[in-house]
Amino acid sequence: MTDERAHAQAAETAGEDARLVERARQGDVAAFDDLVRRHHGRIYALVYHMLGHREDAEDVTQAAFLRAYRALPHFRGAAAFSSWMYRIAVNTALNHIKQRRRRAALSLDDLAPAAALDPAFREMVTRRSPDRDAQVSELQRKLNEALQSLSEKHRTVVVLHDIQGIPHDEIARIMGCSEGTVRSRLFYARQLLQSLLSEFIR
Amino acid sequence: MKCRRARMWALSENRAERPASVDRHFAECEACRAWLERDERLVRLLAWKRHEQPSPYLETRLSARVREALAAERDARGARWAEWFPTLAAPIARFGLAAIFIGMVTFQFLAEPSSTAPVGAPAERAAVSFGGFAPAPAAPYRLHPEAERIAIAPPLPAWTEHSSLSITNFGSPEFSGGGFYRRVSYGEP
Repeated sequence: MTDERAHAQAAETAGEDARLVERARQGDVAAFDDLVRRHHGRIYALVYHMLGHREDAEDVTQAAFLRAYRALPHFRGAAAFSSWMYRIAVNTALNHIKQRRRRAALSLDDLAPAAALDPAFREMVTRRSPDRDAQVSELQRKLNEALQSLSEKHRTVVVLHDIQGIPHDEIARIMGCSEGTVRSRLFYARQLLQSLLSEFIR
Repeated sequence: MKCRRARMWALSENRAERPASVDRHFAECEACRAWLERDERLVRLLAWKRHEQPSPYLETRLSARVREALAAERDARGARWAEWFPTLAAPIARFGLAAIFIGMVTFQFLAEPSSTAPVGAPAERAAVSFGGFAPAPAAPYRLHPEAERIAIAPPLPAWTEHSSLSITNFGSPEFSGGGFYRRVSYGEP
């Protein structure tokens, strides 16, 4: 029942997106603005986790939406707008990484306080040490560092699947590869992350 | 089944496509069971990153930035056109004028009565030659002065019937097809 509701909601979202895309294609900037509002959160989160830097993530998200606007005449509507947009965002982020070739130094300010308020998160870190705040900060720092140490392709798969919750077949479409490749990349990424974060998952 | 292969299969989202040997392997291999437990903890750890929300001002800021960038792009396109226009304007104007001139000359040429048109024929006959387009009524055809002179000359007296000059077929199609000199035959003296 929940699945059916989710499917219906997804179909409704896709339908509304398609209507907005059609209007935007005809030069309606307000319609494209609506598309930006509807998708900016997930696109920004994807880009942010890929780059690990807030300001860069904002620039790249903007660039991705601009690329999408310019490419709207070529959007055939075979895939959902969200998948198409994810693909553009992934490519824009990868291009950005290639161009800059710098690993953003993550500051603790980059980390959202919401995660630290999660009861399960608190329980996990306080179990290990009474100094909870220090543990939270340490875990968040290590988590981000571990993510940034992955190759771009492995990180993209982890971000799309484990953080954004996108299924393998959708990731395969976004990245233009097979589902087997997605699974293989995910496996190697998780192997590496297990070793980098071993102290937290023992 | 090797551990690596079994672990990779364990990541499959579709349990139905997973071979039965994978489950058997996990039932027998303690290292793989431990790996799977660690993997589940890692997935929970990574899922916490979903809590990281963008700034509440991001939406407003991003929308404004995208709108500004689109407007700047449109302006730049306009500026590029404005920059190119003076360069292109002169050749375009010259080409246009040349096209108009050629068009006018061609029209004039087509509108002129054909030299093979019957002398004195109605203007409608000429109109047929250019696809039914009827030109403005032209001035009545005039004979060439030489032909006119012959036409208006008084009838020759009978005694001149066998003179050295006689005119035959005057007004016939053969005559009208030419000009002033047509079908004037010179009789024997």
